[in-house]
Amino acid sequence: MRKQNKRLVFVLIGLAGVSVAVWLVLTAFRHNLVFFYSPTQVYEGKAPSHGVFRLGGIVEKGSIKKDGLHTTFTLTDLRHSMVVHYTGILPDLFRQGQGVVVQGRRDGATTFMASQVLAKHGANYMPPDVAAELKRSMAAKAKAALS
Amino acid sequence: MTLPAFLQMGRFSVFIWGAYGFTAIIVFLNVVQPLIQKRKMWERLRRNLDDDDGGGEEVVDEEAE
Amino acid sequence: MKLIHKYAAPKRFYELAGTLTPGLAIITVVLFVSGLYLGLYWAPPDYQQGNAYRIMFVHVPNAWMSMMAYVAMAGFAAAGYIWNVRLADILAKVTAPLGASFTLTALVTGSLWGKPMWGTYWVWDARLTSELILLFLYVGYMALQASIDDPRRAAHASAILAIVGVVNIPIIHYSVYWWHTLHQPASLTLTNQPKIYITMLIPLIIMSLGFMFFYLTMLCVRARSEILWRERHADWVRKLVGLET
Repeated sequence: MRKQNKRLVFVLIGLAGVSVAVWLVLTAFRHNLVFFYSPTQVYEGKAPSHGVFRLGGIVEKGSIKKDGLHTTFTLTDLRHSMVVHYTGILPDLFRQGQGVVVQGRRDGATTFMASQVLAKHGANYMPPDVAAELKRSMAAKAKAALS
Repeated sequence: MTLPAFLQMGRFSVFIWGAYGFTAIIVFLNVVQPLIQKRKMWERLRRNLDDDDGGGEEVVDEEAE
Repeated sequence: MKLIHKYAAPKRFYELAGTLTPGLAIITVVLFVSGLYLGLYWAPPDYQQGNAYRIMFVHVPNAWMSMMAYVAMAGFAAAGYIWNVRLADILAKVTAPLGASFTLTALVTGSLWGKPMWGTYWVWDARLTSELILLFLYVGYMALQASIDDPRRAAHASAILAIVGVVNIPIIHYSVYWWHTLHQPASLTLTNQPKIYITMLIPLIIMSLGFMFFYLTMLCVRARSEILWRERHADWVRKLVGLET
């Protein structure tokens, strides 16, 4: 074989080998690499029962109660939910219906004491008037579907 | 829109201008550094100061033609 | 193929890059100026993030370029290693500092975006961590290049690192789909409709093209210097600097 072809084969085999190795490691650690758990995972006992972990989900509509710096809200993944207690400043995007990730520890089956609240934001970007228009047309569609 | 309102950028002026400012600095450095390097190198080439590796390099351009 | 071979000669590339550089620089400046005007002034604020989303116009192009430059660098390095193309060695070497700058800028602007929106400058989620690893790969590559004096040996040793590091690129891209991350999934994909409104998409695309042309411009400038230095004993360089007539 020519020297250049040898090198090409060496590079290709090497790259394939490294890819397979990394892929195996990533699959093995897949469940340890989670940035947050969902309330359903907590309910099913897949989240740690002791110690600090992160919980992610959507802030349930109408569940936010504020008392000074203390905030209570319900975090849901639409199947199960947990009540979160948090004292401190909330990120700018924190609002009902918003995806958030909270860090803290469990306090009983459905209560979570958070020490940090992070807001997730969607991949959608649009001007306010377009968003309002979209909301209106969605509501109209939903109404038409009902009647 | 007035200039102060433009500079204000809502409540996030520090972060927005910080991000654009940092990007501008990095772009600027990326332009200036190679140009300085080029000038220094030309200076060395003109004075024929290539003693750092004593001409160990092949002189012939084997892939040229 | 013959054309590639013609310009793969360092001398020919030196001349070609010299011809192209002014044009590329002008395109870059035009794209940057119009992109900044459209992004900072013309584009409307976002319905959720207000003006803070404008950081996207510098963050996203740099993040894209950080990955594209790495793929380019690894491709050049592989070509140089396998087929002994010296121009490819040079292009790989001069891509590294540019790619590292893109990565650093993506990380810092992302951090400045994360603080007001997410509520934190940094989290160790899969996307942010894999992008940080990319920065380390660039730095490691540059360190390896700098630590070996002989250009041919430096190119070969660092090529291996560059090629192995390519594995990180799909990990960065798919991290937001494979794991729960704080970072949101991509707004722009090749297959789906963009999730960005058209008046916000235009500045993003212009800024992205701007950074791409910026890369090409600086690639030409850096490669020319590197070629001249490596070929300093060749007749054409000695004639060029006026040592021989």
